Parts: sequence; structure tokens; C-alpha cells
Amino acid sequence: MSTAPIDHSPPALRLEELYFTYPDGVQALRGVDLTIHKGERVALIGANGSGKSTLLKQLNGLLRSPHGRVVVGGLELSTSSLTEIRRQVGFVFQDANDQLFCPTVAEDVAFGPLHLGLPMREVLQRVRCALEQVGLSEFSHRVPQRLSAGEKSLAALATVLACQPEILVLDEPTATLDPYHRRRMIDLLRSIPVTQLIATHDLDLAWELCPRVVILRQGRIVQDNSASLLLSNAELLKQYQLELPLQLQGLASSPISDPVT
Amino acid sequence: MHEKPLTISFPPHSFLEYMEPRLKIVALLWWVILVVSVSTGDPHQLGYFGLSAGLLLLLNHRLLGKFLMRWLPSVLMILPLCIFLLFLQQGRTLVQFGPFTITEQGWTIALHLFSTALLCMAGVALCWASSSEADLLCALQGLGMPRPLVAVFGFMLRYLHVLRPELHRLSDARLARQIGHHTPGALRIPAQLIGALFLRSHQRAEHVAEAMAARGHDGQWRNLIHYHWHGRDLLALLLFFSITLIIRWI
Repeated sequence: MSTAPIDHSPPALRLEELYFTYPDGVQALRGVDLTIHKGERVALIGANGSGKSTLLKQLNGLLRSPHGRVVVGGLELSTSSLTEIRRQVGFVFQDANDQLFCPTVAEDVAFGPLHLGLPMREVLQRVRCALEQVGLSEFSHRVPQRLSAGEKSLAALATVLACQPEILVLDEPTATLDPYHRRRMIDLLRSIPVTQLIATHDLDLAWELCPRVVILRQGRIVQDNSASLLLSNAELLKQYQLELPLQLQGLASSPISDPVT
Repeated sequence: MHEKPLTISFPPHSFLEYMEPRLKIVALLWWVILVVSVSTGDPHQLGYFGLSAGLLLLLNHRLLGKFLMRWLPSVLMILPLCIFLLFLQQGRTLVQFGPFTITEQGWTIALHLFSTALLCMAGVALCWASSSEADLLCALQGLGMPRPLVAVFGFMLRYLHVLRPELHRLSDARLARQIGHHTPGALRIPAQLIGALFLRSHQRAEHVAEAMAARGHDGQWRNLIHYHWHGRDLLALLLFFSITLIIRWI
């Protein structure tokens, strides 16, 4: 019997006993343990207020928890490792307006690489590549605030791709998108060969993209299993205030297909 | 194939836009010092400075819209202060409104302060209208301004950007629910709007700061455009120095 080669490299991401309480006393995370291996694409789902965004913000130190550990690629999150961890973890915010704050799209995309201290030639190269990757090459001189919601989301993704992160963390990447841009976003995410953690309410996206699904409820991970097992179980999903993906409800016009493995 | 450059954020329309931002800031400081040094009893000199500012604006007439957008709000802020000053000075009565008296001294001081402030703000507005904010921040940094101060300026500018769309959103939401004409309690609404605007824009500014931190912002401003001093910039600066000096000591 042949066995898969043992991967001795550290996991891409490891969270250990992570707790987080906001200053107003709301306990958002209550002992989260999660390990994500290199190249995995994981969907993080759960009802509103379950702690998804809080969890994501822990991953590159936007929120810091006094209890628990965040380890990225073998490097534990601390004040001294913050810069390196932010280089490794690319965060795409839920609202693209938060992420686009420069006068032009090109300057926004260049913001990350410039802060990595890269030489100007490399910065320009990365800006071109990232814009090309998301299909916004012609938008480099446009004012970000005047883009459509779909274009803004793609531009926001480009700002992170230009940093060439090893882990891509996305908070509701398809929340405001029309069907065309949603499809573009899904195809794009599928084509990016890095570890991805996607917090989403779009269970069809989770079904299509993510072989593994984690369900969060009241700051705790209550389910962590394969998408085919979790997302096809209507009773289980209902228990966590979720529903079957439309594709599995038979509402979509396309035939049901297995999730990507 | 000719590749479109990424490094120009907007096509420059005027010679001021082509100028190196650091030189513009040096020129602005010079302008402010000269204008502020004009004595109260010399309104003609302020008039000449006003004329030269007008001429500069005329030469860069494409910036007029951007200039006015930045300059006019400062007029609105300075005016009430100057009106207040009109009534504070003692001296020969010029006009009397019941218990309120405008004296000659009050009129002179208020007018001087108003003109000086407007001229200084005109310089700031012209500098701001002809450069992107990122350029100005990098220029301040390049001139050796302490990093925390540059960061404060940077966040102030970001805050302005955040404030405008939030105001639009809030006004739209208000208008969408405002059926018919003003109601007796309508005056309360703008006050509530300002409170909500402050909270919303503060929240938004925090999100923007988070997004900047997530992409490695460490308090230092870096820009895609790298300016270099050219001979023409220095020539323009020397010309500016000479003209303003002549006006000042005329």
C-alpha cells in the first residue's frame, strides 16, 4: 500500500486556545483551536456575530488576544514578528471602501509593496501583475471611489495580491457582488495557489471553492469537516442558523456537482 | 508597444502641478512668513500679495475648481472670528448697532486679520490643489518634519476623505425618509446628522487605519511617485522669492 509523503513543514496557520473579548465586554472568541495546512482552502461559516471577522483579524495582528497563540508558518504572532506576519498574511476586508484609500487604483495596489520596502522597479512590476491578474489593467489611473462595487472588490483583492502573501484571508469576498463579478471572484480565488481562509455567508461559494468547512458559533468552532459532509446536511446547518447551498436545494439552474477536492 | 506609465496619478494641467512638492512647501512657508509679517496699517501691501496670488492662479487656471473647493471653506471659518473681533476693540466709533459698536481700530484689525488669513489659506489651498495628498505627505517627510506630525497630517487628510462620502450617505438616508416639507422639529435633524457623521466617520477611519496596518503601514509615508529637483523648479522658486520680496519691501 502506498502512503502519502509526510509533510514535516509547519502548518500554514495554527491557532491555539484563542480567546478575545472586546472592550465593551462582548466575548467574541472562546477558545478557538484551528490548524490550516499549506495550500488548503478553508471556508469559515457561521451566523452573524459568531466571531468570524474577529477571528480573521487575529491572524495578522489587527486584533491581539492576551490569551492563546497565533502561529503563522511556524512564526508566533508577537510585536517583533508582526511585520513578517503581515507580509505573510494578506487580508481582504469585507467592505472594499475600507481598503481603497489612495487617489488612484495603482497607488492603492502599490501601497503594500512600497511598505515592504521593495525597490521601485519591483513595486511597479507587482502592481502591473496584480492588476492584470484581477483584470483591472485598464483601471490603474482611475479613482477607486468611483469604481463599481464589483470593480472595487477586485481592486481590493489586487492590493493584497501585490504583496504576494502566503496566506490569503478574505472576509465576505462576494457579499456585495452581482452574479457576474461574483463568478469572476470565485474563478479568481480558485486560480490563486496559496492557502486561503474565507469567511462567508455565501455557502455556494464555500461549496464550490473549499474542500474544508469550519463552522463557528458564539466564538467557538463547533464543526470542522469536509464541505461535502457539512454543507449537504440540512439539519446540521439549520442547527447553526444556516441553510443548504442553493445548488443543493435544487434552486440553481446548473446541475449539482461535487465540491472541488 | 508603448506602455501606459503607472507612476502619474493624474495628468498635470499646469506648471504648479509639475513642480516638485518639497519646493512648493518651501515656497508656501516663505509666502506665509511674508504675509504674516505685513503690519496692520499697510493694507496696500496685502493687496499686492492678493494680486500676485490671483496672477498665479490665473496662470494655473485649470486648478481654479480644486482651489476654490479647498479655499472657500476656510473663508467660512475665518469670517465669524473676524466679525466677532470687529466689536471688541476700543477707539473712535465708526458704526453703532444698539449696544454694539464697531470702532475704527476694530475694523482695521478685523480686516487685516481677515485678509492675512485668507492670503495664507490661499497659499495652502493652491499648494494642496496642485499636489496629491500622498505627495505632500512625502514632501513633508522629505523636508525632515517629525514622523508623528506627518502621520497626524496624513490621518487628518484621510479623515477628510472619509467624512465626505459618509455625509453623502447619511444625507441620502435622511432625504429618503423625509416626506414633504420641513416639519417644526426639522432643525434638530442637522444637529443629529453631525453627531452621527462624527461617529460614522470615526468608525470608517478606524477601518481604513486597520487596512493600512494590514498592508504594513508603519507610520512612514511612501509614494509611488519619486520627484527630483530640476533646474526649472529652482528657477521658479527663485522667481517666486524675488517677486514676493519686491512686494514685501516695495
